[in-house]
Amino acid sequence: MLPNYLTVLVYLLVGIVIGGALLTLGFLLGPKQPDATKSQPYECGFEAFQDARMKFEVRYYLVAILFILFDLEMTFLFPWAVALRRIGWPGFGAMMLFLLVLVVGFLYEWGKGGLEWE
Amino acid sequence: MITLTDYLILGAILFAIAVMGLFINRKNLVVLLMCVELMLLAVNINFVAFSRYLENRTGQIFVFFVLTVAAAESAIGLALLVVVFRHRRSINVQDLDQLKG
Amino acid sequence: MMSFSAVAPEIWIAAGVLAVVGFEALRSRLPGNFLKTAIPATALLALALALIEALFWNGASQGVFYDGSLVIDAFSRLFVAAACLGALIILFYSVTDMERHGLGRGEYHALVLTATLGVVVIITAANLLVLYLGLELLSLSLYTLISIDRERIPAAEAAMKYFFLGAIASGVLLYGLSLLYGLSGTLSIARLSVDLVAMGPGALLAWVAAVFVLVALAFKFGAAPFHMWVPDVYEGAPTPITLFVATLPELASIALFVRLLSSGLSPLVRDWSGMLIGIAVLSLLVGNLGALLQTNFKRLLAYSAIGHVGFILLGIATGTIRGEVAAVYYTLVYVLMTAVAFGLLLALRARGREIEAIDDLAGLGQSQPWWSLLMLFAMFSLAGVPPFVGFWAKLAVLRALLAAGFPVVAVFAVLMAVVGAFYYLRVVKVMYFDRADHPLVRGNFSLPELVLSLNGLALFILGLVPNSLWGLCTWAIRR
Repeated sequence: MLPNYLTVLVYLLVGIVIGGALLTLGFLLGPKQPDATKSQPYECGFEAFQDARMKFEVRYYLVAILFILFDLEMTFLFPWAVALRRIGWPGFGAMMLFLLVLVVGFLYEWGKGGLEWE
Repeated sequence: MITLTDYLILGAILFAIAVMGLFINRKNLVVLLMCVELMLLAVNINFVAFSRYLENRTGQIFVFFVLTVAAAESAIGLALLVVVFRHRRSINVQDLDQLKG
Repeated sequence: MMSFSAVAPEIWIAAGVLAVVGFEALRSRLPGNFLKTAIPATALLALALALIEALFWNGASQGVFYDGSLVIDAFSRLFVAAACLGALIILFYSVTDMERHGLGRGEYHALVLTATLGVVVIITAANLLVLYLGLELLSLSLYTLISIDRERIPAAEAAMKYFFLGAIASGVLLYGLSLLYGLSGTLSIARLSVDLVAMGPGALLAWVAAVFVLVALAFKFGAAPFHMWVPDVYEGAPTPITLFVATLPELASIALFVRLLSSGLSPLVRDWSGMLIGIAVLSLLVGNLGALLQTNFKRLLAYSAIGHVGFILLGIATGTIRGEVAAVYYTLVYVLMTAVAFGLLLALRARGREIEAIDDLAGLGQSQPWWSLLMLFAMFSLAGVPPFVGFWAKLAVLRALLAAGFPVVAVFAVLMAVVGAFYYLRVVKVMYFDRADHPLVRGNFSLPELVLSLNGLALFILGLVPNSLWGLCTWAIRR
């Protein structure tokens, strides 16, 4: 029973090490020029203390739209990755095709300036 | 013991709440969008419950697709919302009165 | 090696979508003149290739493909070809007009292609999941198409209404599908009907599922009492888009009915037949009486659409093969007639604007005899005046009704057709007998004029030889 969880433990440790290393590196190597706006809890322009039922800038909706789309398509990658050995090259090809469609959509969004804030 | 019926009742209740929300809510288009999402999620509960009960995985595959379609649907809903808001400066349901069906 | 010949039309259309979106992504890097020809050319080419594939289907045999997701039978062949041809014609009619509005960019072409892809997927679906995906592909493209002109406020509103009603319909359909899946443990439409037979009559859950599916399909088809979106969308959307909304989705809707109701839920025919008759009768009533009150030509056509949907549903509701053939025949004829009416609406302009009110057509008979003749064809055909093909379609449905033993409903349908004739003839009267206070001019249209004329003449010619199309429909439906 217990040895079955060894992989999980290793996975957990590796995750902690990688995450910790990245944070430390950023802390050690990154430039630090704090100012009043930067050190606020939410750097993206929200007031930290105000009514939670406030209006959002319309441009956030665009970000939300793009996020939803590309975020959820990824759910298909998980079952695919697990079953990859069994579905072989045809399965690999199918997923590449799917990703190609996504990439074309991404290029469109990029080309149209959907990723720029202004 | 939780049986299939319990899950189906849960799905039905959620579905009913979503439909009620769609028809009763007169204030905010975002809430309508949330109701649409809830409707699809209620159906997902049905699919997963049936899939488990029948020991047949196709239901769970269906759920994956429903989730993605729901994402695309809410993306389009949000986009329409922004278009309407730009014209109207409001996302109030009652302000949609230019056309009368 | 897996063969892709069974999805060849879908592949061509999807490749067209990718190419058009790719062009549009590179818009800032490519010369404008190149894009102006490349994008429409790609879209037309993709549809033409899909049409050719659908006509010949590369010799692929009939049957079910890809783990029971796709079915190629006579119905798929006829309707995929019709959908591709319809999309081609629509692009022909609308491209000039969309360019004039500054909307003839890649987005329009890509969305028309994805919507067509959705229609094709619905038509060939052998599986509930594939059916659902096709339906969503179509619906999502339509919501976006309707609001494609962001400066047009009514369009945004119409799209919003259509979006929410459509989303409810999808949710309701999905709920029904989940129950069907739970009942039979399969998503295959063919196995579903077998399992439902085995279950025997009177299964409550099956009945509930049938009601949900039926309501959702009625929504998508725009049948009363779920018709609220139809007039708004027709009026709110730009006319080229209305042309699209009024034609291709009808092909998809009848395919949904044929696939889901007439095949998948055929064991429950007793349960849904009565409800469908009710919906159809109500649609006839609402559509034809509503149309009497309209002054806007697009709204008139919207209510007329509801009335025609009533006729189509009557054919399905008989639950007989003959009724199904009649419904399919009626749908094809209806799409032809509507294409002519909206094509003319796009080709003509009054006071330098699009034609909106029926009165804008006044004096068309003198100023544009040929186009008014075609409009006359379309109106007579929609009204069901004898030599035209619309008459044969109505007759086919009425005959199927009588054969299935619904004489009262048939009489009611005739009555409503008479009411309908009144408002179509009013359009003809305005065209020929009302004096114009403004010159009616033809928009600058070149090649599409020829297609439009052929389309209009087809209403007359097919009316003289009604059996040709009827034979095709019989071939498509026989099992």
